[in-house]
Amino acid sequence: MENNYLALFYDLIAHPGKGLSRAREDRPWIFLSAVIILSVISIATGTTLFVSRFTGVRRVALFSNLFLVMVLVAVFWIVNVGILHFFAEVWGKKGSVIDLFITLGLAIFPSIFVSPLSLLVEGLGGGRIFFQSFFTVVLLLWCFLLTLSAIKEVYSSATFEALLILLTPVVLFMVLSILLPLGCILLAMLSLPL
Amino acid sequence: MKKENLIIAIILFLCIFSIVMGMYLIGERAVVGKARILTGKKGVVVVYLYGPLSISQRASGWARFLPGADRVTSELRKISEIATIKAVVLRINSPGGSVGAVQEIYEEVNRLKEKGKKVVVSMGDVGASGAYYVACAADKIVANPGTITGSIGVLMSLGNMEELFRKVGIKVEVIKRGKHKDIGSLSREMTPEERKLLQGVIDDAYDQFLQAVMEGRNLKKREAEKIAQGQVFTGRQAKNLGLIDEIGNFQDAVRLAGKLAGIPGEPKVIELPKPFPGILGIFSNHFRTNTLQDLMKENSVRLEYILQ
Repeated sequence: MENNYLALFYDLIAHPGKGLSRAREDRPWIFLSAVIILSVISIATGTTLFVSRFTGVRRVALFSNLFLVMVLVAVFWIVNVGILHFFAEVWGKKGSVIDLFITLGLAIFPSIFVSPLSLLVEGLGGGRIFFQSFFTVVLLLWCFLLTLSAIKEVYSSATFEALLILLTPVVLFMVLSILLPLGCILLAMLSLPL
Repeated sequence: MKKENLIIAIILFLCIFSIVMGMYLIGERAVVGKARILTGKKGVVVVYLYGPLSISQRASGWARFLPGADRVTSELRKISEIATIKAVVLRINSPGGSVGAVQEIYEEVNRLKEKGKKVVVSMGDVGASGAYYVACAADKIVANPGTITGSIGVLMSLGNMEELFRKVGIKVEVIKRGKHKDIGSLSREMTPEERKLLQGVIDDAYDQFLQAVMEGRNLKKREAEKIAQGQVFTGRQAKNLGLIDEIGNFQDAVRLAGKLAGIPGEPKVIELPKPFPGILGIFSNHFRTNTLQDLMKENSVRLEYILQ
């Protein structure tokens, strides 16, 4: 069992497509839980460490940050599954929501490197903000690519289709965030006495 | 173990190690914050001064874990900025160190007092030479009956390897501008003029030490000079000579600091982190062997307030 998990972990790093496909078939709940817990602790520790350099910190800040990250990761994960599954169906794709839940959960695994990289940045003499930003962008890009692979795997879709499923809610959100205030302004103007 | 498993094991180890280290660092930063909150009128902050005192290269990044005067001065400076901290116990277990490092810490302790903090020194096994210089800046000094203290004096050790160099066939070529630029050179015997020059430097550093002892311990020059001949004393002898104020342990020092600061009852102890040489310390010191090159570096002209 442990060897399976180690092999799965290795595949997620070296062959993400193969790893996610394997995760979809095996549904490794314990492994998924371990990855999520480690990610949450790593994000909380790394971010608290980085922020505390500039703001100072009380010991309680780590625990409140840990709680905050836990809630944010859970919300982001669940909402993402719901939204992406909805848009996959909108684009005519069929797949299991449980599979998407598992693979998207594993797609956040690069965040276990937040803490090691923050520690590395901590040891640098200068350019801490630059390096922290650089590493954050690299990790986000990695998570994005894994999410793309997860969608491809679950809905047996091509890269372009997966990109469409992934970017549609983003584009829609951007359009709505522009249109809604404009609509409100328009309504307000119309309701003004002429 | 398969190659893949090894890679994963290393990655997992790094992640877990970094989380633990990260938490340690956060805790370290939290201590000053905690001191700020908890001390108020009922706590005493403890700062540790352990081992030989020298100035580390940098007090930021990884280097801040290495023991050094910069770490201590930086801690004392932080404390001096926190208005709610009323008392500090400087826990000393050190044979002293380089003159510059000692004087930097001494000045920082004086600054603490200027900011209205009460400073009590508690000595463990040893609080001698430069460490005693630092202690002189405190309001009160507490030591165990058997603590080794005193050793008031200045030292400069310079080797002469002229004979060895001749035997092994090493010839050192010195190109210099400035008559005394190679003063203290390993490759030749010291001239009487150079000896006189260095003795002048030593005498001045000694006067500075003596001045600190006289001011800190309210001693007249004649009294101070009598006990400042480099000799060591036990805590009990030092008490009789007026070099320390009280015989007692660390807890006594904490209580005394609390009393001086007007803290009613048993004061709360808030400790700043002890030096953490850890893995870095192991890499930087434990695996090193002294080479001839190291010995030659060690031979540089350097003043020390240190117990031999």
